[in-house]
Amino acid sequence: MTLLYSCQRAAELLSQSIDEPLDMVDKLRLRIHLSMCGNCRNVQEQFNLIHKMGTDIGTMDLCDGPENPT
Amino acid sequence: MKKQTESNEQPSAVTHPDTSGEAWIRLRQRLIRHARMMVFEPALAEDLVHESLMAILEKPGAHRGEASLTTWAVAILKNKIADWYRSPHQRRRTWVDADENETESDPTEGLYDERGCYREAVPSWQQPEKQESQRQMMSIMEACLKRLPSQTGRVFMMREWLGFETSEICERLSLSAENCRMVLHRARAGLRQCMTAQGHTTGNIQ
Repeated sequence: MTLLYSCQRAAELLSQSIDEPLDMVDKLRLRIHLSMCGNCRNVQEQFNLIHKMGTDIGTMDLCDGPENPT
Repeated sequence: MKKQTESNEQPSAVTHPDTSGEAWIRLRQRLIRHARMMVFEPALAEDLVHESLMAILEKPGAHRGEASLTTWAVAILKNKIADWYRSPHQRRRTWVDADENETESDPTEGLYDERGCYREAVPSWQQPEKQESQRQMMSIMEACLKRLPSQTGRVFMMREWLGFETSEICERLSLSAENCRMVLHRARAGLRQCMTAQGHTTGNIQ
C-alpha cells in the first residue's frame, strides 16, 4: 500500500515537479505510479500544458468579450 | 516614423499607438484585468496599468520586433507587477489582506475519494495545435483562473505568469514551503478541472 502513491499524492508530486526537482525516491515512485495509471498520465499532460500556457496569459490577442465572462 | 491615426487595418503592425481608439481602450481594460488578478487593491492595479501605458507612450516605436502591442504592453505590466512584489515594504501585505475564510475554499474538494483515488476518470485533452484552438483554450484558462479562490490564483500567477521561483513566493508571502506547494497544487488541479468542464461545453477539449 505505502509502496505506491495514491493519485492524490501523485498529483501533488506532479505539481511539485514543475516547480522544483523531486528527490530520488519520490521520482521513482511517481514514475511507477504513472506507468500504471492512465488518469495520472492525463493529469500530468494537463499540468504541463497549463504550465506552458501560464507564461503567455494575456499576450494572446483574444477577442475580448464583456468584462466578466463568468 | 509615420504617425498612424487609423490603425484598424493591421493592429499587429501599429508603430504608434492610437490612444484614442477602441484598441487602446481594450488594451487598457485587458491590462487592468490582469493587474487585478495580481494585486489586491483595485486602485493599485490601475496605477500599475497607468504606469505601463505611460511607458508605451514614452517610447512609441520601441515595441517593433515584438509580436504585437498587446504582447509588449503585457510584458511591461509584468515587470511593473514583479517590481511591486519585490519592493520590500510590500512583503506579506498581499496575503495578509486576504479574505480570511478563503482558507476553507479548496478547488480539489470532492476530486478524490478517501483513498486518494479519482472519483471520476480523468479525460485526456486534445493538444491545441491550431492557433484558433490555442486561443480558445487560453480564454478558457483565463476564465477558470478567475474562478479560483483569489489567493490561490495569485500564487499561481506569481509562479507561472511572473515566473517567480517558489522559494521567492514563499518568502514574499511568508508561507511555508509545504503551504506553497499545496496552494500551487490546488491551483493547478482546480484549473485542470474547470478547463475540462469548460472544454466539454465548448467542444474544444475531447
